[in-house]
Amino acid sequence: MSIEKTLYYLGLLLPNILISLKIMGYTFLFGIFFGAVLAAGKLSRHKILRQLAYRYTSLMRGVPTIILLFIVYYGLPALLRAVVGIELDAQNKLLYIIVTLVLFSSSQISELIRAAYEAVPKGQMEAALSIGETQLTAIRRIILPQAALVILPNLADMIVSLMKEAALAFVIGVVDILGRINLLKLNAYGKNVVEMYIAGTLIFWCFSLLTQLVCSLLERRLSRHKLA
Amino acid sequence: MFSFSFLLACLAEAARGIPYTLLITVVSISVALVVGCGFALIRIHKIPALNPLVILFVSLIRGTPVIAQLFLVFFCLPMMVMATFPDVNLYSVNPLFFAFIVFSLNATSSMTEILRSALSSVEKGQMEASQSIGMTNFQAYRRIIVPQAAVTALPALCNLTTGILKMTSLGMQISVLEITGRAKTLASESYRYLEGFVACLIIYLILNFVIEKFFRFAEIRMKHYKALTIE
Repeated sequence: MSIEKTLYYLGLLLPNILISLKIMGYTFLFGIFFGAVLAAGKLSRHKILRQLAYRYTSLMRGVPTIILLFIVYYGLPALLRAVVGIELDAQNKLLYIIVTLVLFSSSQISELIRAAYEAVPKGQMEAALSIGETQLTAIRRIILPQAALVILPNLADMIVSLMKEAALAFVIGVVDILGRINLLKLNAYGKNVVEMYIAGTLIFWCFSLLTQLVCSLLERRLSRHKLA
Repeated sequence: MFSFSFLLACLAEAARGIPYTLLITVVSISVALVVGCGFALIRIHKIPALNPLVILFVSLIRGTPVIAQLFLVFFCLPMMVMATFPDVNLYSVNPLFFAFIVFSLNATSSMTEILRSALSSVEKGQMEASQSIGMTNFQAYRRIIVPQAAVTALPALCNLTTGILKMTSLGMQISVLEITGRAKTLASESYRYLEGFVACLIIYLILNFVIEKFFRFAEIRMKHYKALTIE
């Protein structure tokens, strides 16, 4: 094992984290939307909606990500073909991992949203409305800053676990860090494998550390809204 | 089209992998209970030199994807060991061995955090009270602190166990013949992957359901250890 080679592969592999970031970005975008829908279901007055939302969450908790990824990868094209007659482009593999992660993360995000919603006392909204705020400005100025404080401590954990799950994308052929290593391994005839995997793992680790740092800084900044 | 008869065949084949999956899970959790307990104590008592090492270990294991660790250990450990000890041959070792290592490391890192927060959730006064009636530190831990901490830790332990069980499905990537590995092998003969993975899904759901029921039962049994909180 040599340090120079590890550094070389670090530089080579680093751009491929952009693929993971892209996957995570889309997942968050759609995950927050569906997570909010799911949270609304959990908080709704209808028993059936509530049950459905909770069942979905517990179902998602019991399934390994890789299994769901493969089911989406092999099942989604067939399903779409049978139901709406759309042929999916087999080349666009990012779609499958994003769909899988959205299925997962929306259930996690819904739990966070629900916890945040329940953590802010009802009186806050009533008080805001009573001093003449509209519903929208009340949510933006009063509710969200307080709810954000409930979510933030979990945010770093969520991003890191999403990154760890997005790393599975290579099993369906996405060229992220691990996918790139697989390609490099073929070209190197099995040489330098140790350095490649060490470099890849280091990139993941640095990303996690950076995420935790940024989130704790953010938390400190937002804590000024904290109720005494 | 989706074939239910093949799904049944896959279920039967995947079920043969259940012992491996459970073996990996049980070994990892057992290792984690022992080592994690030590690590948690190191973190709580802030033992110099060891404390930063444990923090580093937990950060590394929790901050990197399991699949990357799995490859790192599977590809690199044999090479590095054989570079130092030329007469050892690790290429013929059962991949199960590498799965044990990686999943134990992962279980240990989570267990450290779980036990640390559970042990520190027990009030300081409990320890002081035990010492004041003449118990040794060890007796106090065994009789007073651990039972109370265990109750607090149970829900997190349940999550950890199901988490490790789900994680073992990655063992397929290093050719461990557990549930996923077997189902995929059978499915690949006829390219009917969907049925294979749906079979896995069903089995994992059932296993997780059983584990959750087991922990729920344990929680009820241990309820009387629950510390009374004085408002």
